[in-house]
Amino acid sequence: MKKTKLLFGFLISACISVSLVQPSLAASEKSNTQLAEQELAVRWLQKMARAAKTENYQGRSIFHNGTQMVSLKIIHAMVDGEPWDRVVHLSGEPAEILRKGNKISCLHPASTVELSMVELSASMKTVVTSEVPLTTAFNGDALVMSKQYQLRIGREGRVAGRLVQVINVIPIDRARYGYLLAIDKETGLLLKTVMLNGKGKALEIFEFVDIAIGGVVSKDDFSPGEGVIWLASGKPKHNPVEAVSSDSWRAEWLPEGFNLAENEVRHIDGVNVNAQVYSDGLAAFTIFMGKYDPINDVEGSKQRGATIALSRRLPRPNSNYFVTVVGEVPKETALLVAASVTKD
Amino acid sequence: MTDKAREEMSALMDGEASELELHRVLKCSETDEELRSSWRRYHLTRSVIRGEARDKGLLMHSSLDITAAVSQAIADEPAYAEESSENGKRGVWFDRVLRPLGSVAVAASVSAMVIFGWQTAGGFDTPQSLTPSVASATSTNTRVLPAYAASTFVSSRIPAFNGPSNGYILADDSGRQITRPGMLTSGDVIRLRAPRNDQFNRYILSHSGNAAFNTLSGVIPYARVVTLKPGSPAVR
Repeated sequence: MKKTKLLFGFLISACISVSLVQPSLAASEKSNTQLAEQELAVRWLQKMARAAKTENYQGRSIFHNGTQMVSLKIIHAMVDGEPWDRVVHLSGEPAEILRKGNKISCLHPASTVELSMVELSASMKTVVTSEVPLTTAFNGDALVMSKQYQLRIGREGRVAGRLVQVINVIPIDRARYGYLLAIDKETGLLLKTVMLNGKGKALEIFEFVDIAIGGVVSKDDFSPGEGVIWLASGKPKHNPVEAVSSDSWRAEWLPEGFNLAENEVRHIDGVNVNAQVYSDGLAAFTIFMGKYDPINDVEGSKQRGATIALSRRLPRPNSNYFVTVVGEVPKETALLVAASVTKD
Repeated sequence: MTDKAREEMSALMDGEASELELHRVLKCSETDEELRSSWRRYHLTRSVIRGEARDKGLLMHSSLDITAAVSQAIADEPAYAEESSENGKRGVWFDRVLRPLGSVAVAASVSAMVIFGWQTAGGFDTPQSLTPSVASATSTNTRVLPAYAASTFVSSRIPAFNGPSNGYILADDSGRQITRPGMLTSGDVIRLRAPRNDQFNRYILSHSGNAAFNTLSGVIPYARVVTLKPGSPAVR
C-alpha cells in the first residue's frame, strides 16, 4: 500500500554561501528578503497541495511538448478518500487515462495498458524506501527539505479566466529542470505548469483553458468514453524469479536529492524487468533493468519534450542485461545515471 | 604579471581581445600563477556585482583548479598504442582511423574539461555535492558519489574513453538513423543506432505512472502518457 503522495512541502535551504565570501550587511539583508520570499512561496505550494487533496474539478487543458500539442479533458475528484482522475485525449486518436487511487489504466482504441504496479514480492518490498521529498513525508504543516530548488514569487496573471499567482521554481544545479507554476489564487489549484531547461526554454507547457471547480462529480464520470476499449484488468503475468533481483545491481551515481521512491517488477515487452523510481519531489526518473536472451534491443536514446529515454547494454560478462533510464531530467543526468549502473 | 598582461586579460574578459592577445593570455596563464588568480578573482567580482550569488556553486568553487582533473583524465586514458599491437588486423585500422580520431578526442576531452570546469565554477555543482557524507545518508541502497565529479563526468560524457570494457553509446535525440559505416565494425568504438520506437514507448509509458505517483506534477504525467500510443505507426 502506498502512502499518500499528494502531500508535499518545501523547506528553504539556509543561506549558506553568502557568508563564505564577504559577509556584508547588504548581502545578509538581501538573503533575508529572499528567505521571506521563499516562505511565502512555500505557503502557496502548501495551499496547492491541500487543493489537490480536497478540490473536485472538471476542465479542459492543452499540453504542448515542444513539437506536438494535444487537448485534454480532465476530471478529478476524491472518491472514497482516494484521488481519481480521468484524462481524455480530445485530439488525435482516442485515448484515455483512468486513475483510481493506486491503479492507473491507459485505454487505447485497441488495448488497455496497465500502468499500476505489479504486486511486490516479499523480497522486493524490503528494499523500498519512501524518502521522496515534497510528496511523501509532508504531513499537515510539517515541511520536508528540498535543497535542490529555490522558490521565487512571480507575477500575477490569468489562466482559464481565473486569477493566478506564479511561483518560479529554480533548480540550484543543472541536474534537473526548472518550473513555472501558476496557482489559482482562490482555491490553490495548479492551473498551469511550464517546464524549463537550463537556458529558460520551455520544454513542456500544460495549461487549463477552462475549468469548473467544486462541482459535483459522480463515479459515472469516470467510466470510459467511446472509442477506447476497457478490458477487465487481470493481474499481469508475474514471476519474481524471472525478474532481475534489485539487490544485484545499482546505480553508483545519482543526482543530489533524488531518492528511491519505488522498487518493483514490471512486465514490459514480454520480459519482467526491475524498475526503480527515483524522485526529488518535482522530477522523477525510472531505471529499468532487464535480462534479455538473446538481446534484441538496440542501445540508443530518444527525447520527447522533457522526457528522455536512453538504453545501454551492460559490458561483459553481463551483456545480456539492458539498462533503460526514462525521466523528465536533462540528458546529461540520465546519461550519468545509466553509465554508472553496475551489476554483480 | 605585467600591466600589459593585465590589460590583455581585461580585454579578453570584455570580449574585446584580438586573436593575438587571446593567445598571449593563454600562453601567460600557463606559467603565471598571479594571472590565473586574477582571472578567477575578476570573474568572482563580476559575478558578485551582477548579483549572481544564487549560483552558490560559483562562490564555493571559486578556487577550483581544474588542471589536476585534466591531468588525471589524461593519465587515465587507455594506451592506444598497446592495444594496437594486440591485434594485427586492428592495428592497421587503428593507425589509419583511430589514431587521428584519438588525438582529436584527446583535444576534445581537454576542451570539454575546460568548458566543464568553467561550468562547474558557474554553478553546475551544488554546495551539497561537496559533502558526500550528507548525500549518502539520504539513500541507503545506493552510494552517492560527489555530484558531477569532473572525472566521472568526462569518462561518461566521452564514451570512447571508457575503453574496451564499456560499449556505451551516444545516439541522437530524434531517433533518426545515423550510420558511420567504418565505425560500426569495432565493438569498442561508439556505435550510433536508432532505437526501436515502440520499445522506448513502452518504457516511457511505464515511467509515466511512476511520475504521477511520485511527483507533485498532478495530471501532467497522464498528458505525456496519452501522447504515446504503443503500436501505433503515428508514434515517433
